[in-house]
Amino acid sequence: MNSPRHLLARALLAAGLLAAPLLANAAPPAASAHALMHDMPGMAPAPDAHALPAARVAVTDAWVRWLPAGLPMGGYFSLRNLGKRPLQLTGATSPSYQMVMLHESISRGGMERMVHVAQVSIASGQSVHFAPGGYHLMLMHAASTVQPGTRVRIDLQFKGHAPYPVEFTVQPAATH
Amino acid sequence: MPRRLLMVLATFSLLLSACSHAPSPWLLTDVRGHLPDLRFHLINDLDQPVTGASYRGKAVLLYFGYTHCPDVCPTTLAHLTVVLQNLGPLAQHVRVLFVSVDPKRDTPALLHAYTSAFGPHIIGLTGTPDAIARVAKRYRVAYSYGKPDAAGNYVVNHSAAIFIFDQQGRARLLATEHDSVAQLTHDLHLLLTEPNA
Repeated sequence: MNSPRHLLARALLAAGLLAAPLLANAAPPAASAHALMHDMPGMAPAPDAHALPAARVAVTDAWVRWLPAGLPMGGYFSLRNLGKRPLQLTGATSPSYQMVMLHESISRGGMERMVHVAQVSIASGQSVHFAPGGYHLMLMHAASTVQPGTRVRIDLQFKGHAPYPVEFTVQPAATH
Repeated sequence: MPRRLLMVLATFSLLLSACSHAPSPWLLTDVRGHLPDLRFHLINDLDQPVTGASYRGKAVLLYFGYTHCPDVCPTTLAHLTVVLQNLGPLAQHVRVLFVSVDPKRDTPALLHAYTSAFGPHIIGLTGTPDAIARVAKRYRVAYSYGKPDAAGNYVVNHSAAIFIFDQQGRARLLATEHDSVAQLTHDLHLLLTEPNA
């Protein structure tokens, strides 16, 4: 039965306050995440790469949450594979950022973790959403020209294809 | 037959006991009496020492995070910014305290730039690792550091809970990132318009 105390315990568990270690500096559960990080973004496409026809992929709602002071920003978009073959998104680069990484936020037992993602596969006809609280582009070391209201180009890297340029709008930090 | 009657009676008594409590007016988790009052010794984003008592008279939303977090932390602060906007003039009685669990990188100046990007009622707090660990322990908040990469960048894993205190500094409600703007707005409105508030 759901006594108030029982409910509280469940809520605390959900918020990661009971199950999680109490000590700061506890061993990070990030080892598996680092094991995933072997596809370095920013690499040139393979010599036999060919341009991805626009008919094969649709990218919508591409935006960046601006943050000040050179802090890393999150990039979001929806991507639909319109082609007959699966696509593998393996990374991204941008002339406006020194480094771009595929990341995923994972919420488990009320703890928030952020892990590197080596690649995201999108089957034919399927969509993937890079959205707050899940998959996102981690955009590091922005050029000073990146400000709310501007647009930035981010080249999505699909396995076996030339970089696929997408225009992202830079939104204010408090965009909901 | 008597056995069946017994079961029916048992079901009824269960229903009765379930109905005997007045329904909670809160949409978030009511933690009154279960978590300690707002108390800490930290540094605000203007580099001034502050304590829990510095925020008496304000309802406080206490959240732990770090500025080098491009996704969950700014999304949560954006979420809370909308809640504050929804509260209208009542928002002047609310402060969001963003406690950094990454004091190595989060200087008061960086926290100030960061929180200012969201709104005037959001305040960054930092301190010595010990001072931060004490506050986190007080509210059973866990955090840990990922292994730095070649460039020295590292992630911080942290609890996503939002602790809500009334204007007397009493812990009252617990929210998670899954609670909607509507739920948060509802409960904060209720908290700020309590007869004894």
